Order: sequence, then C-alpha cells, then structure tokens
Amino acid sequence: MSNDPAPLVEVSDLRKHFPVSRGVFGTARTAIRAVDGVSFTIGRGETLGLVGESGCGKSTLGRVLLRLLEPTAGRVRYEGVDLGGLSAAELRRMRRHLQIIFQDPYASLNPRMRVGAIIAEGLEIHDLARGAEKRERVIEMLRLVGLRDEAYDRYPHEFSGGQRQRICIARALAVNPRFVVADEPVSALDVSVQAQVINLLQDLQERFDLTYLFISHDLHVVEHVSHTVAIMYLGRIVETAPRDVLFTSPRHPYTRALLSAVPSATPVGERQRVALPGDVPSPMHPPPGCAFHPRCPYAEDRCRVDEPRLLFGTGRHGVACHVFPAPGTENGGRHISVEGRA
Amino acid sequence: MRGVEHAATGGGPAAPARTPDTLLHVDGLRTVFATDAGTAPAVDGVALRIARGETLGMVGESGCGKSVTALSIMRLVAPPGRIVAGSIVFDGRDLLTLPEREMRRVRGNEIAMIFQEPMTSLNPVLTVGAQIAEAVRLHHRLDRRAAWRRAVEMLRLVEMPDAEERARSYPHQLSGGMRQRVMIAMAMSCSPRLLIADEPTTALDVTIQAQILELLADLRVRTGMATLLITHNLGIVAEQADHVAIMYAGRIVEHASVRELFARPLHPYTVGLLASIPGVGGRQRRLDAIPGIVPDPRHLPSGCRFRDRCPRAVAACAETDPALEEKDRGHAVACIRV
Repeated sequence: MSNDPAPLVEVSDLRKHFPVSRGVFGTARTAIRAVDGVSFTIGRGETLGLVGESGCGKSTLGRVLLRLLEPTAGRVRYEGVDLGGLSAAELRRMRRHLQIIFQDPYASLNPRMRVGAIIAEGLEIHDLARGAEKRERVIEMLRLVGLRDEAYDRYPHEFSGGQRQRICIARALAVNPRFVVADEPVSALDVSVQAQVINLLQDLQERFDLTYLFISHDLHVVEHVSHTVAIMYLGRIVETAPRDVLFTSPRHPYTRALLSAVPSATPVGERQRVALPGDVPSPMHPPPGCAFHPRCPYAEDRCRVDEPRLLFGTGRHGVACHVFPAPGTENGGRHISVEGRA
Repeated sequence: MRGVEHAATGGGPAAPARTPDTLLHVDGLRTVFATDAGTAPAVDGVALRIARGETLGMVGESGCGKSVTALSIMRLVAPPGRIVAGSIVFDGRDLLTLPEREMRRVRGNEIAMIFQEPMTSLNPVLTVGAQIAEAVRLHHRLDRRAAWRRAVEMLRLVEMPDAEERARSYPHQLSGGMRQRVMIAMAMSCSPRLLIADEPTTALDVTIQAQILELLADLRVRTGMATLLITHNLGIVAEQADHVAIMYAGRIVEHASVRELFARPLHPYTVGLLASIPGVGGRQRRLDAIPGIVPDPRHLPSGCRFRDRCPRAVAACAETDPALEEKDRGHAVACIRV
C-alpha cells in the first residue's frame, strides 16, 4: 500500500451528459457530454487547478463534484465516503463540509438580504450557532475576509466587486468547510483587486487547512495558486501533473498550445507560439478518436480512430495522447480509474 | 462639436512629443456624465498621441475611463455623457469642431472601431455578408453584387475559413472568434487609418484570442494602419503595442514605450499593477496587491487620485494634482514622487 495520506476527494470516471431534444418533434435524442469520464484525486490542504476554455465542462464538473448536479455515471468520494450512496438527509449534513464560490459576486448574493443575514444563513441551516453566538461568528468571518463590522447591516449593492467576492468567501467559510470549489473566483475582478482576493484565499487555505478545486481559464492565476493542475478539453482531462512539471514540461499538444497562447507581461520580442487553428468543437458532436485531433498539428491516423486514455507515468504526470504520452509510460503506464490513485 | 470649451493647455498635462508624424493627438479631453448624485468626470484631462502606423496600448481597470476616451474620439458619447473640454486632432483636423455630417465620414472611412462583444454589434437577422456589404456601400459607390464580392474578399482578408459560405451565415451560427473576425472585416472594409479596438479579445478563449491578436498584428503590417488597443491585460500590451498609456481614475498617469514601461515603470500605480499579476517577477508566495479600491469619480480625493492607495504617498500628494510630465525621453509620468 502507498504511504501517502488518503486524498480528501477522489473522483472516478465521473460523467455528466445533458440530454438534448432534436428534430421537429423533439424525438431524436442526443446528449451534450459536458463531463465525459473524469478521474482525479485531491490531497488534503492542496489546490487542484482545473483549466480549460469555455464549454470544456469545467464548471459542470465542479457542480457534479458537490452533487449540485446529479452525475450521469461515476463516483465522488469525500474522505472515503461515496457521495452517491448518501440519503438526502446525510447529503445535507455533508454539504457543510463542501462549499462553492462562484465567478460572479453580483449574481450570487441576494440583493434584498443584509450581508449579516447572508453569511448567517449557512449557520442557521446547519444549526451551528444561534443568537449572540451567531452574530459573533458572522462578525468574526467579516473580519477574517477583511471587511469592517459595519458591513453586517449593509446590502450587497453597497459593495464593490472585490468586496462582494469577500462576502461570498465569508459565507462559504462560515460553516467551517474542508473542501471548497472556487469556480472562476477572480475572473470578474480587476487585476489589482484580483491579487487581494487570491492572497486572501491562500491565507485562508493555510490557516484552516482548506482543500480547493480552483477552476479558472487564467493560466497565470492557476500557476500561482495550484499544487496540481489538470487541463480539460471537451469534457475530459487531457493532462494533469504537479504544477511545476506541467508548466515546465507540458506534453499534450493542447496544453502546449494553451501555454504558448497566453500573452506574458514581459516584452521579450518574438515568442515561439504554437498557433492552434479552428474552434473548439461542440460537445454534442465530439470528433471520433481523440477529441483534439482536428486542431492538433501532430495528429496521426490512430488519433482519428482511437480515443487516448489518460495514462500516468512517473511523477504523477498523466497525459491522454498517443503521440506524446507521459514520461515513464513506455510499458503501458497506469490508468487512474484502474489503479485507484496515481 | 458645439458647446465645447477648449481647455487652456498651458500648464496642463501633455503627452510627450515623440515623433513629428502624429496621426492622433488628444489633449485636455474631459468627458463628464450627469448622474443623480452629481457630475462624474469619467475622462478628466486625458492627453495622448498616436503616430501613423503605431499601436498605442491603453491599459486601466474597469471604470478608469478608457472606453469613454475611445467613444469620445469617435464622438459617440451618448447622453447623459458629454464632452466638455479638450481637443482631438486627427490628421490636422480637430474632430470636436467638425460638423456631424463630416464626422460621419471620418467614422468608418478613417477611424473604425471594434468592441468586446461582437454579438451585440451585429444584426441577428441579416447574414454577415450582407452586413459587411452594407458597410462597404455606405462608403463606396458599388452595386450590390460588387459590394457582396468585396464583403467576401474582406472575409478572406480576415482569414475566415470558407469565406464564401460563411458570408451567407447569420451571426448566431458563428463562434465568438468568427464573429470578431466579421467585425474586423467590417472595420477594415473602408481601409481605416486608425483602428480603435476596445477589449477586442476579452470575451474570447485564450487560443482564439491568440488567433485574433495575430490577425490584427498581420493587418497592421499589411495596411499600415495605427491602432488604439484598449485592454486591461498587460500581457496583450507587452506583445502587441509600441507604446503604452496607463490610465487611472480618468487620467493618464504614465505614457512610455512598451520596452521602457515594463523595464522601468515609474508611477506607483503602474508598479503596483505589474506586481499584482501572478507569474510576473518570479513565483512568490504572496502577490503584492494594491490595497483599497478605485475611487468613485464623483468623490475623488484631493491632489493625486491614487494617493489613498499609494505606498509612496506623502502629505504633499494631497496638495498638488500632478500633471503628466516627461521625465525621460518619451517617458512621461504624473507623480510628484518620481
């Protein structure tokens, strides 16, 4: 057995398909495969950065993970407990440990509730504190995220975007969660404010040993906050590795194109850019074989037919590519859902 | 424009004179918005200069006035907004004094603009080819068939795949990247000398963003047009622009060549912005965030607008409103502490 501590979150072969009616009478049925066979683990106190372009299924994955959406197939285990096997009441109790922060701090706060009541809601639902103790806990949360006590009696519209995201973070953390899905938590914020919120999330992680799934399209932000990074394309993880490995020796052609497409804020003349032709295909009709092959400059015949599996070699580096497999997979490599953990 | 009082530019802020070949020279521009809670100066004394064929990157956070500056140059500021002072000299003519009829000729023929969200600027019930052809016919005497041919040609110019077929598509049938190509085709159809691109890739994914930026760079080389590239992304500026203007609370606070600005940022706000981007300046554990938030334009602090958030502020910063002054050849900054 491995002497690693057990991961906090284990996801195996998770799928979420949304049925779509097509045709004049809505008879022909097909499905959008938003999440299509995803497996990974997140260690306690770690951050998994999940990167992908719009429509790749990263937000759906975050929601299925917390069972805010029912998965079509697959399993999510939290501290060894299969979330799919819980009753509604058990799941509700579990929710306390699993929180989410959304991208848009304008849309995710009820404009008619005062900030104090917004943050206290979770405490009431889970019956964690009442009366004066509840108020104290809310004030403590406000201070924790860098807001003044007066915020308690104010309404969300009185705050700026960055302050609202702080309110969302206070709400999520008030119930003492252990796992937080942060879905593009800083994308709507200006860079100077973005840095404040990133620092806050990292300070809180250190202080409370929080585990994050950090979903973002911004590779700079992901590089900064993550311990491990997973790259998603059309519902699947195409590459995952410890942060430094992924950013210094990416293997998958999509990862490499993505990294080279990000403008870096250092003018150093001409950069080698891997230009990627075309658009992301519709997840309703993913291409056969490797879903990336129509845009891939290295595609071979087998890529158009055989779907590559995410195979792990050495150093927790997994790649789903026939042409550029993970280093150390010469003898076949390991598939995470077979091996359990890589 | 009627009702514009020309600001006395004597001791006011001035963009550094870099080249005699100036295409656009904005000076002392002030655009205000009347609100219930008072007048908000969204643009307050902006000065900038763009040479022929040059790309000026304009960087700032939301609400700093960069989009209003662009709309002011096009004279497209809608009420309750109003340009109240300044001059916008384009190729020798002050656009603010032109009659509306002549201004219409400037828009499209000489200055074109593309926006962040192409879907809202396209007509959903017309094919994109018809929309480009319409733009072509507004500015050239061509019959329908010739205008259509020109539209397809423009789509080829912007490297639209299957241009002929795509011309018959409706906007909703195209991806975000393709729609932005259509907008660029429309802007290019009249061979503008200045293209104003307001956050042209902000709504796009990075790989598509890279395609569009490459296309814009290619068009600049092929046509020699100048570009005012408005963005919040310093990375895009580092790659695409020749010069940069950093905007804060309605003012240009620093103006320099790209190389100079990134190598030697002078204004504390610019320094703060660069430090707050993850992945720049090594992989430190904490980002150097700028404390506080952008001030409300209706309640600006006295003196320097950045002083509340500035690590280098001293008592004198509350007294004087710093003007944009050239500190070094071509490098101007509005700060009394540098």
